[in-house]
Parts: sequence; C-alpha cells; structure tokens
Amino acid sequence: MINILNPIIANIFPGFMWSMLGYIDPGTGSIIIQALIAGVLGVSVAAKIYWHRILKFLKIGKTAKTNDPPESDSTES
Amino acid sequence: MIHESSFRDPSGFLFYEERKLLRQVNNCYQKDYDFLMGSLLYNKLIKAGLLIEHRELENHHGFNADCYKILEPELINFISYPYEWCFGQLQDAAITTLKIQTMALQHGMTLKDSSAYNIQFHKGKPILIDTLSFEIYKDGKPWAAYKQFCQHFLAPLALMSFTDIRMNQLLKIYMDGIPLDLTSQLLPFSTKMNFSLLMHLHLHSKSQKKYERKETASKNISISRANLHALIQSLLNTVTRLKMKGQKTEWGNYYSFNNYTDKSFAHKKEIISRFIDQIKPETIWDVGANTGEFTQIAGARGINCVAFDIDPLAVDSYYSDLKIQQIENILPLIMDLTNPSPSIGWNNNERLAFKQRPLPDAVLALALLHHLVISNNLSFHKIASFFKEITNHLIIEFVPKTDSQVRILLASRKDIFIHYNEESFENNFARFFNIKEKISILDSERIIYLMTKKVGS
Repeated sequence: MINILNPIIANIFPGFMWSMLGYIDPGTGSIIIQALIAGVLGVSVAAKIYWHRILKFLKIGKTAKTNDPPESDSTES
Repeated sequence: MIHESSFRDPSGFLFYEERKLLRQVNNCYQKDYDFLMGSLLYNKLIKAGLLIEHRELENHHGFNADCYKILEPELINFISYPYEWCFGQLQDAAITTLKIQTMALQHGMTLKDSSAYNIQFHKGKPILIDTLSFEIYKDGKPWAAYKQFCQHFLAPLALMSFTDIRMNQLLKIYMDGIPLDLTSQLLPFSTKMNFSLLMHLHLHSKSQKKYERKETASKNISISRANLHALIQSLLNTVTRLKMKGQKTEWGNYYSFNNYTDKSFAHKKEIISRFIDQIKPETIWDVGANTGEFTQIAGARGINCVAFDIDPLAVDSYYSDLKIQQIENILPLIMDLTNPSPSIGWNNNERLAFKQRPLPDAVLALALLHHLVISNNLSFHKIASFFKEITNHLIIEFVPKTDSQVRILLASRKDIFIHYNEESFENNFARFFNIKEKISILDSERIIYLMTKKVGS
C-alpha cells in the first residue's frame, strides 16, 4: 500500500526544509505515515466542517456543534 | 554528579549537588527556554498540574561552562517507571502527554520527545518532569516525538487492551517503548478493523520497516498545524477509548475470598493502626497491598505510601479508587517481590532497581509471608535479610499452616515446609530484628508482629 501512496505523498505535501532541533530520531517511516494520517484526518475534519455549513446554509437538520482545530497561532506577548 | 538517566538531550541535564537535584539549561536551549517562560504556556501548565514547577537559582556558577541557567525543580516523592504502572496509570500518563502537546501547540511550542520516563506520579497524578522537553514550533514541522509516543504509550496500552494485561512488562526489556513490528504481530487481527490502531500501529510499523536503512527525503515533508492538531486529537481519542482487558487474575477478588470474619478484619485494622502510631513513620511501603485496605490506615495519617502488588488488576482497581477519592499521598504500583524491578538501561544504571529507590521508614508485609515461603520456596532467613535491607521498622503478619489460605497453597503439593512454624519464624527474624510486640488477631490464627531492626544489622 505504501508503494501506491509514494507518488501521492511526494506531490500532496509541498516540500520545504525544516531543521530538526530535537535530539531523538523521529524515524523516516514514522514521519511519512504521520503525514499521511494527518492528511487523511485533516481532510475528514474539513469535510465534517463544510458538511455542517452546507446543511446549515440549506437549513437542513439541526445546527450541530463542530470541533474546529486551531486555525491560527494564539500569540501572547 | 550527572543524573544516571539524563544524558541524551543536548538542551540540558539533571545533576546532583550536595543533597539537591538541579537542572542545567545549556546555552543551545536559551531561546526555547526563554520562549517557554515568557509565554503563557509555562504558567498554564503549572496551574493545570501538568508540568513540574521549578525555580531559577540566581547565583549558581553552573555545572560546566555551557550553562545558561540552573533550575531547581520540585522533587517527586517516589520515582516509578512505566513497567510498574497499571493500565490506568499508563493511560493517564499518555493522556497527560497529549494534553501537554495540544496546549503547547496552541502557544507556539511542541514537545521534542514523548518518553514515558518524562512522566512521574506526583500527588496522585501524572506530571511532566522534563521542563526542557519543549521547543519552539515551526509551522509545517511534523511531530518528531510521534514514533516515541506510539512505542512508549499506544503500543503497550493496545497490547494490554487486546492481547494480555501483562504486556506492559515488555517495557522492561525495550527501553524505548515496544517496537511496533512486535506490537503489530502480537495484536489480534481484529485490531486492523479499528481505523486508529490500523493507522498508528499496524501501518506505522509497515512504514517503519519500509524506510529503515533507506535514504529518503523525509525532511521535505510538512504537516499543517491544523492537520497536526487532528493527529494529536486522534491519538487522544484512541488512547482514551482503550479499556483494559478484563481477565480475572488470581488476586483480583482477594477480599471477597479470604478467611477474615468482620471481627478479625476490624481487629487486624486496629492492631495495624496502633503499630503505625507507635512507629510514626514519614514513609511506608505496603508490600502485597492488593487494593489497599490496610495502606489506607497509613494514608489517612498523611504518611507517604507506596502500595506494591503483583496483581495488575488489583493495582488498577486501587488506582481507580484513589483517583475517585482524590488521595494524593498513596502511589500504587505493580511489583513482584520475588523478582522486583532490576536496574536497566545503559551500564545497567539508567533506571533504578527496586532497592535503589529511597527506602521507607516502615514496611507493611501483611498476608504475604506464606506466599513467599510456600509458593516461592524462600526460607525465613532469606526473607528476614531482605526486609532488613529495606527498612528499619517492620509490621509483618505470620500466617500458620492451619490457616485456610495456606491449606489451599499446600493442597496440590507435598508439604516440605517442616520449618514453617511460629518458633522458626521468630528465631530467624530475631537475627536482624527486635520483636517489639506480637498480637494474635481475634477469630483468626494469624499473628501481627511489630519489629525494629537491630543496630548494626
């Protein structure tokens, strides 16, 4: 399954360099699967949000609560 | 002297100085440390009881020239390790780690590691003890500690949930958490039908295997903050929903099946209370504590207690009770007294053996002796010399052969225990202890002894 997903992974996630400040080995395979899972979950969370908005717009069904992920930094001075 | 287990993180380390435990923050960590202390994150974590508090020592010269700051953290009463925790404790430690990571991300930081050894139990609750675990979050950066979290927390919890309650003992062998390929093999096939376990454990393991020893440009991979948050929430939901495999263990229902009448039980409690009041210990270990019926006598007096038992179900049940009652001074742990925690890790020195932890003022050894002698073929002499190495004061229960519990132990075997009697017990213990008092429990043949170690023993 990972073979099929390789080209998808390479194209979905825009590459930019980030530096590893941590000291533990994050594991290449772990980073890749993490990105995949996070991507799938992100899509499903987004789908849930938009589905609720569409329903609300069409005034169909109850207005449900959503668990929105944080969209911006909460910066403090 | 640098702490035995504090050498991997270049950000800083713990060291001993006179009778204190201090933490040096190295220069390379200055920016991250200042960010942590300058943001609201530190205070929020302290207020929520999620991070150990510390104070900065102003005029300290530092352990070496790389010193940015010296911190004095609040001390933990008793250091324990994940292989000594019951299911509930490991689960709460995992939830704490994920809550901290969620809070950190909200304030522009992230955990650079998620080792179970960074969590300790403090006032009854799991707490992060490594203040230097945080680093400034860079947008798009994946969670470097994801693999460690899956190995240290999710894998053992899933194994204890779906395979066997005793699986956490694998953490004793695998210092960096249970390898995911082993976890994947040991978990039943049905766990592949669970989306989260399939992703975080089974496919994670396959991905690890595929990319090990390969040069792949994983440094170019980025994950948006929102997706990272979704990942952490997924782990949190998965961990929270896991339930301990509910098999019956030998001692899980101990207090339903024993030979105490109400009268003898009450009398035993009275004797223990009196003996504890005579010793006035500050710390107590209850060995073979089961669900803490007698530990609570010491706990109610504000004494710091550690309650050890071999049975993971009993310890889990006790931990749940203590949580509900919000008791802060009793820590229940899983421990096999005939094979207690060894010292493990680099140079057999990173994680301390049972006897290397700070020793208690007193030990309760109730309804235990017959198990050590009859089930484990230990002599009174060996048992007495073990206890004299760990405590000055001992409250111990002698259980004679005529007792119904002993008759059960002897039911299927030859009785080779010709020296198992009161006289031999007293003679052997008297080599190391002065027997201060002995009281027979009413309506029972058992005897409770109060002993104090002999000087020079």
